[in-house]
Amino acid sequence: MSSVDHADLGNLTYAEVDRSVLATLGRPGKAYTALLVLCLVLTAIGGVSWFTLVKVGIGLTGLNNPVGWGTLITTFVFWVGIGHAGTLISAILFLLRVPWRTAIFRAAEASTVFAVATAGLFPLIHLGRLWVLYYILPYPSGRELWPNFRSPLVWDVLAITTYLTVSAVFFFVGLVPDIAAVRDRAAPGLRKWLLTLASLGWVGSTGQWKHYLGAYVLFAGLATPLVISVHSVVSWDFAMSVIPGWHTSIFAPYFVAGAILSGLAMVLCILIPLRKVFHVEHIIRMYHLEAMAKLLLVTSLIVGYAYGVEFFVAWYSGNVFEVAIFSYRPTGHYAPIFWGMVFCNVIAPLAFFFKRVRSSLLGLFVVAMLVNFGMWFERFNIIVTSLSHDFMPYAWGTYAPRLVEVGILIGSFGWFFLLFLTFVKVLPAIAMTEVKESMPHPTAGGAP
Amino acid sequence: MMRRTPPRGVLGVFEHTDQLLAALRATQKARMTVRDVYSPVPLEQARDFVTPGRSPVRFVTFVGAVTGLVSGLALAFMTSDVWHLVVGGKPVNSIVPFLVVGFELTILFGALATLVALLVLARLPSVAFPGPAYREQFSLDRFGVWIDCAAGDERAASDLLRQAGASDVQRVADAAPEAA
Repeated sequence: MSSVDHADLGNLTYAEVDRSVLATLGRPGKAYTALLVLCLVLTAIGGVSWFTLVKVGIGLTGLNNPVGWGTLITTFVFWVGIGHAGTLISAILFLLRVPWRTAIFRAAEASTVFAVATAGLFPLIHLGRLWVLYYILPYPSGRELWPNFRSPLVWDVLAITTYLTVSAVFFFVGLVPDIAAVRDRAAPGLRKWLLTLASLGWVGSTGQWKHYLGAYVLFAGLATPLVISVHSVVSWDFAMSVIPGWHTSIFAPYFVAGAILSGLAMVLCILIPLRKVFHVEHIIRMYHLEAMAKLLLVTSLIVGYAYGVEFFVAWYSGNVFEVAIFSYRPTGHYAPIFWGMVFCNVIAPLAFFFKRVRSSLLGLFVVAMLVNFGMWFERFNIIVTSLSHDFMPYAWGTYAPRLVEVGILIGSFGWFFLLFLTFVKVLPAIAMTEVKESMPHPTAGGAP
Repeated sequence: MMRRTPPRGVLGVFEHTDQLLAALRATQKARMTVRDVYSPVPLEQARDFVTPGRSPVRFVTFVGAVTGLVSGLALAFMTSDVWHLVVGGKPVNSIVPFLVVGFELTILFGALATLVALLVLARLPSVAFPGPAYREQFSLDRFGVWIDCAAGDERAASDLLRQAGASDVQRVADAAPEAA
């Protein structure tokens, strides 16, 4: 929280901010209900697909030698990446005192928590026998068997669970003053009682604010290295192996940049309809969206640079296997995925160099949507091409996702948006307290 | 922080922060005790009148983070020593991989310790909610100053709050508007 965050919020008053944001919690309209039903249907498709997979077995997927990781792990990495923009906006930009974060960080934080919660399902789905999940947890068994802490897969479990826990705590703590504001405007009844419980009895006294601010900056300070570490650890799932195309030291920064790129794209895709449907264009302004577009452009340039460096390193290493995989990616079986990735993640975001595109809702939405597709293609390109084309030609093979995997992939989008849609109707998706804090305090003279 | 004395005194409700700060300065000058200030947003200047100094949450965070680091490293080293098996060509006690475990638990324990410290120091969840002086408008756009005073001093405290610009002055015990 900072009083130096002075986003241009015009002549809004505290009451107008509350009124606008609380209006988003009112009775849902037809568009919202239709979206909710669609998400329920998609989630049900995912649920049925997962149930079928558990019942029949992992052989139902297209996974086989040599490709043992496919759509499920691709989607896992994709969703972990989506989560990164929330922490970037809520923690890193908070520490850097960036003014435009206040109006949008709550929605971004929510997308982080829900994306990581969605991502966390995929290793379980991929496990097949998800009831033996506890094998990977460090618990004192009678056989004295412990997880192998030298394995990046175990680091991954630690990183993802830590990230989910810390993000959820950070998200909840940030919500407390806003839940109190909603509580105080709610009519007496069950909802008010539940909000009173959730607000923990927050009253905004000086003592509470003092410790709240002290804790909030620490949460941000802890979340910042965590967000960098999480996708680094995910990248080491690949980079720690000897597979061509994976065993490279650029993976950690490359994955983190890609994660932020995909997360920003997803937050844009969420915010653009959100501000329209809930009539909060005067709070989430074009100024905010344009700032995000600039950040997206920067991360896209970093990602594009990383793509180029990968090819350069492969060529410069003189390693035949590296050269082979990097020749295969743009020309082989999966070339459409590779070129789709390049177009969506590197070429399309270049449009944001033009203010006309950056300041157009349609332009922002189209490019953000393309980046979402592109980032899924990128994960697929990294994971599947390397496995299908490793050292020995006789072991090469191809992979295509089967119906059950597509069903789970679709279901994950339904699940993510179901969580998000539920959230925006239950709790404020715009941080009222921080928006008010970013405005000049009301004074008798009318000046701050 | 609130002291455990019976609720008493008067509450001034303000619409503007400059008037609120003027009231706080006046109470200090008149040697009256400000028991608490309520606001919809954090007000650092007001905080200095009631609870000056920085929050000690950071010390608890540090202890939590160090505990996490030690626990993570201990977990990795000690469990690896149970069976001396070389896996993937890496030494049984591999320092670099174990630092990842230590790092993650540093962050996890640090964050959980921060949460516990916040809850304990800010006295949350509050079983006394809403308390004698809290008004629902304090989470919207009003600011409150609660002056702790005996029944005989209520008139002077009320006058002080009104002169500073309070839009409403109430007795804390019964929340009834104070007689002019």
